[in-house]
Amino acid sequence: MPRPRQISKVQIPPRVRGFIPVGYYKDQSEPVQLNIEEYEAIRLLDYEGLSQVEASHLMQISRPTLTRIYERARKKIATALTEAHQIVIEGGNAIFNGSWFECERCNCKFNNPNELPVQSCPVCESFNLHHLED
Amino acid sequence: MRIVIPISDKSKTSTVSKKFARSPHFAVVDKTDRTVEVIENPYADLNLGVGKKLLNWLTKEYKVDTLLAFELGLKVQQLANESKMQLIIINEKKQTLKQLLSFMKIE
Repeated sequence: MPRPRQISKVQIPPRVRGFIPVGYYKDQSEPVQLNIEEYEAIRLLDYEGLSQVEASHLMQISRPTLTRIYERARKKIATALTEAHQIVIEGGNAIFNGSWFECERCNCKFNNPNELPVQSCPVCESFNLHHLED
Repeated sequence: MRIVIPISDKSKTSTVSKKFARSPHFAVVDKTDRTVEVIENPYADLNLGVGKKLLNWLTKEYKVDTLLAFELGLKVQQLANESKMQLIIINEKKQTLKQLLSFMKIE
């Protein structure tokens, strides 16, 4: 029986839910699903420039697990770029650092550090909020 | 609620700075009193340890409890989480202070 996957911690939810290829191509193929922890590995290692040890501490997983997640992520992105697939960022085995919400009106994302009941957006005061699930 | 917004210059038409700690100016918005104060970042050109000094200064001098930015550096995120400050991430890179204040129904 395979070992259960470790749960990764993600600092801030992804800005968007995915990416689409630009230009004409017939018969759209199935989108590539990039898990939230795979997105976070790319963000911490390639965008923030952290070492694998630093990134694994932040994500609260072991360094070898991070390496595997990172390799999977790169493979998926390479496949999507080369074969012109959409990339959908969702799913996986991750939890956000605290609870996060998205305002459907002004599209900002915000956390709730004091765990008080969240009723409206802190920017536009809209009640149309969406709780970002892990 | 006192929100700090990193901005590129002192005017109301200035855009939100891309990076938080190195922003040349900040707008401190008091949502209760509906006031805005534009301040200079004294640590913008410091080489190291900007995030910690900046957050200490903003919380002590301006009683800020919320950070609004397009993007936050990892260090600032960690320090803000430790201090239980609220983080707001906006999705428009070129949003102006004027637009944000209009959203907040302040001006």
